[in-house]
Amino acid sequence: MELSPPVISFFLEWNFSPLATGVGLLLAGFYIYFYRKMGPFGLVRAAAFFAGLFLMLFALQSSLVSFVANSMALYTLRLMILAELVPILLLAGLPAGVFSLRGLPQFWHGLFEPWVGLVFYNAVVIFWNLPQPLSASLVNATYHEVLPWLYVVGGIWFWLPIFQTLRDGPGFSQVSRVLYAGIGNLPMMVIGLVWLNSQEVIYSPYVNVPCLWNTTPTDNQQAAGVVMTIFSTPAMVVAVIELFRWLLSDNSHPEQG
Amino acid sequence: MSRAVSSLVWSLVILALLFGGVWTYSALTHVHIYAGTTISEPKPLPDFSLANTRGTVTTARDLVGKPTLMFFGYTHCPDYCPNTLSHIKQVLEQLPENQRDKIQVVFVSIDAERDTPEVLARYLEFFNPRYLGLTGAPEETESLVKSLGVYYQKSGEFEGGYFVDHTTATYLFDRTGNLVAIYDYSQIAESELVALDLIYLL
Repeated sequence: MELSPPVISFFLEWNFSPLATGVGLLLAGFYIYFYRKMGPFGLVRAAAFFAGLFLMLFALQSSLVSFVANSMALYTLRLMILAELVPILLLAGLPAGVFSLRGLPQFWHGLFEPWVGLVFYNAVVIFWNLPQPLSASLVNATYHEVLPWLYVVGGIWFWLPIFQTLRDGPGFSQVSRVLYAGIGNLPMMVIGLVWLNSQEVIYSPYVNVPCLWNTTPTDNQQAAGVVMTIFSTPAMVVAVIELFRWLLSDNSHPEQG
Repeated sequence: MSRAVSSLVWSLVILALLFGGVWTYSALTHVHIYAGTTISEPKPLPDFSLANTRGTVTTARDLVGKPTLMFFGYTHCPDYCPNTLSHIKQVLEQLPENQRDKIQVVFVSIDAERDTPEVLARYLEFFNPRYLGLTGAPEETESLVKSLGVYYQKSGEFEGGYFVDHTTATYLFDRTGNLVAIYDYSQIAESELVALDLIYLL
């Protein structure tokens, strides 16, 4: 196996996955259909959506996948693309009003309550970064197949209320928004910082494998920590913006007199 | 139902579905994660033929049938080799007595110049007479060494001798002779966890 692959090769060599291609085509088809039916909602939106779609297919089918066992940094990068970048771009590509639950029976509305998505997303992030489950995800082919999709679904579920609020008005209170965005990526940030500062290799599958680009397993883990920490910042940025919006609004001050 | 209660109920349902799915999947597929680095695609032992400490010759085929722990070192090693062999002894002591004989421990010398089968036998007797020692010239150990990615090189010399720098990993093979896990020097010291791996293979 080539242990110093040029980065460009990740973009040039793809391994076809029927599931990923099928989902990609389906999403593209739906998008084009609604784009034509609901009227064009802007080229920038369309570009964001298709960029998200491309990144999803890239993370699921490119040769990046075959190197994750030799690089924890690439393993993390791949999952973070799926968990953060792809959902943000896909949701940014959708027009306002598309998130309405009208027509859906009342019983199912609870499923789309913001905190449900946050719980699911963080359960995936926390559980699959514990040593045993992470090892299983590397060793077992099915986990390997399922986990990336859990990250995509979790990411969309987590980011949906944020986009809903930005587009369709007040979904939940200003304080809740700050808390939601602040808590949302906190576990990810903590995990990233633990990796970044750990002097020992935490995950046994990475202890004895030759690492890509002649790095040591500890360097690799620290690089993964940097990647994880960087990708945990967008929600934090939202939290800070919402915090300042709340502080600057009249509602944040107790009534006087 | 209030929004808060609804969120809580749905969160619990989602978590139950997620972890129920994980549990069911694990129960159905019996995923075993070794205490060392798990080899996702088990790799068979290459062909080799080396003199052993029992006065005969051992080939790859002779190691099939029992789980095997294999370590590469040399008898003049001042630190890693005796420590690792002691750790392996502790691993075996964690197993029920009637199962200890079902595990093979193989010590492959990477210093054929000094480690004759007789020297090796005396050395291993100190740890456990059941340990099997193998030795051979570099060209004879080459296939094994290359296949497992073992590194060794003569290093510092001292009066009357020399040291050999070498890989300190221990390799675990299943009954069929496939490499399934690699323990580094610190992992092999986790005797209880390594013993669980052996029990799994038995």
